[in-house]
Amino acid sequence: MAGASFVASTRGTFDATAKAVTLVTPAAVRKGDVLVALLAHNAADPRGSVPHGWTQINTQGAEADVLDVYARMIADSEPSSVDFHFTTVANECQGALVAFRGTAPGVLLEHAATVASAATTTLATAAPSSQQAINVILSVWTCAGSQALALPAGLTLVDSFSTAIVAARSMLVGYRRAGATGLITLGNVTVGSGTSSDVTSGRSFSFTVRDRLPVQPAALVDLVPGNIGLIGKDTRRVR
Amino acid sequence: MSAVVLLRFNESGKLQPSDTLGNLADLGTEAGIVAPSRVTAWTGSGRRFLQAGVTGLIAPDVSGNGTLLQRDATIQALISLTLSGATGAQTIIARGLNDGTASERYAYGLELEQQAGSPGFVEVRWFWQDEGGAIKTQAPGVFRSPGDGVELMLTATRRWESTSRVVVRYYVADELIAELVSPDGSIAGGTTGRTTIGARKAAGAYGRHLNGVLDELLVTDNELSLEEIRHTWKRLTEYQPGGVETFAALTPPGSVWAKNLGNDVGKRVKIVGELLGLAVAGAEELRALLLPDAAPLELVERWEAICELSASPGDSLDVRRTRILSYLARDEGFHLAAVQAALAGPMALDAGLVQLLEFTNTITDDFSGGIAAERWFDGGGAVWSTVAGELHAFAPAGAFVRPESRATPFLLASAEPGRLYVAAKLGPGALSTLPIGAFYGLVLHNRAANDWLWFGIANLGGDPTVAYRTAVAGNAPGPYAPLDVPVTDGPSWIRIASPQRASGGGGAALTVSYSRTGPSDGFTDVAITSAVPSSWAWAGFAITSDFEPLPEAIAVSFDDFVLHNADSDRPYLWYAFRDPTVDGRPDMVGAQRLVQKLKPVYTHAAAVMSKSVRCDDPRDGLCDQGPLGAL
Repeated sequence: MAGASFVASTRGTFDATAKAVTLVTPAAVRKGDVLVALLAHNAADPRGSVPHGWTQINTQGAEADVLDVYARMIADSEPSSVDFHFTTVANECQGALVAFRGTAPGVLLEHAATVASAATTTLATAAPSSQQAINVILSVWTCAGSQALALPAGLTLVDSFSTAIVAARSMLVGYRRAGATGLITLGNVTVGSGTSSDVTSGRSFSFTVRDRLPVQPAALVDLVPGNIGLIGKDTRRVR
Repeated sequence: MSAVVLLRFNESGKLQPSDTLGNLADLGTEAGIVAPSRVTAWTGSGRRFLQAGVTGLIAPDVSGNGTLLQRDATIQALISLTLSGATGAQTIIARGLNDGTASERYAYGLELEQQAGSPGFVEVRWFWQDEGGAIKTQAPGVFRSPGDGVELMLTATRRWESTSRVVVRYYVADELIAELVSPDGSIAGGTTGRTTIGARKAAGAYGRHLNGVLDELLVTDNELSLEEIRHTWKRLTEYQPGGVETFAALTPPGSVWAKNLGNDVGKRVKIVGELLGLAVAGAEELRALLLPDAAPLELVERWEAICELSASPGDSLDVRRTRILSYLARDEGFHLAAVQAALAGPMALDAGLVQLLEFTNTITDDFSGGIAAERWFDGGGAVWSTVAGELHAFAPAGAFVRPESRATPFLLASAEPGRLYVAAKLGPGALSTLPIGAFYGLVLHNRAANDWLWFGIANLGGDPTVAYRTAVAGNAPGPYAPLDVPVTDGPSWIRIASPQRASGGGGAALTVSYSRTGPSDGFTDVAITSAVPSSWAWAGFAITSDFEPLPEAIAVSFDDFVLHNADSDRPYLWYAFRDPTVDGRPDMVGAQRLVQKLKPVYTHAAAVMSKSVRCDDPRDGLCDQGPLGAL
């Protein structure tokens, strides 16, 4: 078991008329994979009901930068897309769908962290905590305006895009293997060329995605000691 | 695979523990550590290490290189932990004392630590030092402790692949709990380094003491596979207890003396039963590990020898197993993925980068990708180029493009005896400027006999006309045979075909067809039955002029070339192409050998590093034996 692994992603399509973000299921997924939907919106635009078959596993952020996280395991018959509705869409809504392999939604999310950045050309990155080194860190940044966001070193890009159906906003998604336990420090995101013309406000979200809880091993139990141990035959090298 | 250290800890409490394999001297103590006490454990006895008691053991190697492992290694332990009261990292084993000298750097070590924020959860992690002396503690595997004093089997493996890539795995019981890739491929250590058990020494001081009971400790010089670890676990927990139960069940009904394994008779029953279980485990080991999908390293090496496959030094066990399975799976059919996986090793590529070039007996070229140099032979005399996905030909005024010149045509090597079908589109826009006496169209050519057949549009006395002409045995071309009234500007579609029935190729009969409507309809067919050469080796395009030098420039265009050789051998050709621009050190000789073993007998195949035909290199499979190389 090497932990959860990234499979594929798709970018959401925002329809202001339908008040929904549509996420298409990636073609590369197969039964047992877990879809993680990341929906970014303004707190003033409340989320609608959770689509059938999906579970809202987390929500982070406030005001202009809220991120809802939903999960679903791929079944035998999978719809080609899903719509995430909002009660109002006075602001831009964005979304991305990320598929992982080897995960179970029930224990999917181990930790979440968020940090806001205001009037900056460098978005701070939330530092997640990871119990296992094999966990995956999924990081999302959202900010106002149409901005080019540079992924911090060590992360693999999932998607980076800007939309302006209602008002220009940008979203960046990346991931990496935790590679360590405890608090995982990630680099910050540079906005555009990092000059004063690129000042924006936004928020970073980091999630620790795990494959499963740490296992508890079976024990060697015998009321009467005296068992043959690790090697039952002589395998010493020729000397 | 060889075990290099096996500590059973079954010596009397009055004796120093010793390495069963004899590579370590008897373990002892020195200033700073106290000998652990002998206690009862699952295999009979073990040693209790106590942090508070600063316990530990130390031993030098008996012989040079006895326990030094700087690449692959496995540490396996039967151990019980006492997390209560323990703090910090706990060392199981460390090979080296880290005293600042190169010879005492840690070559390998394994330690445990309860997670600070998650009581009851334990991290297990490798550590070693690099050549500069920096300690490289690896990312851990994490498991939930089964409880203080509960014995478990713990395994950590290390596979060194390069100076920048090491794969570590951690197992508890028979479960893989983590696989991680590390960049710390620089691993130090010296032949005179000493080994500590239950504590780690650094700069002359002991620390990181273990708090638990070590029942057995094994170090091997290879990466144990999941299947081997799983089999060991099943031997310990299923086969051997099963043997005891079997033997005990053989005692007379109603007797109780054999059921109590704690009395003298019962202990003998247990010994015999365990041996029965050991024999069963041996048989089950064959069943579990013999076939290449789960074979351990030494059996994989035998499978490779049987299959005559080669492995690179850095190949992991998984890669080598996959290669063998791919080779064996060839009998199940011609599976591209399996062939790619098999060739990935010798070609030093990811399987997905191994290009398998396959062919049909139809060649199409719409020139959207330019002019493929390997396919087209430029006879000279004209300038050939592609513009907006069309093939353009241009001959300037004054050029020499007499039809009998071999330098004129622009040809394709067809070289397929038998039935022929060749078609193309003649571009518009040229007819109003086509000089008198000029021609553009398809051409068939027997280069050995110097036979020609031209078919296309010729300007006959000022009227562009669909026409053909032939030249046989190097003689001057005959006159044009006009087939249609003068044509107006616009595209034309023309084709030349032999009879397509099974024995229809190679004869002296061809049909030329032309259409002003489209590529698949509106054709007028004209049979040519006299003065028709055969055995066409080349087919393609040509521009010619009866005038020398060319009084006016010729500028024409072509597109949508189709050549179908019904009797072609091309469907039976395939090439495994290794892009030479991709990094890596391919073993093309090995790849070629593998291709020859993998290929179905009715195919011609070669491992190549060029898509151009190379006619003189047996290592590339003598690809000139195939008519068209790798394109």
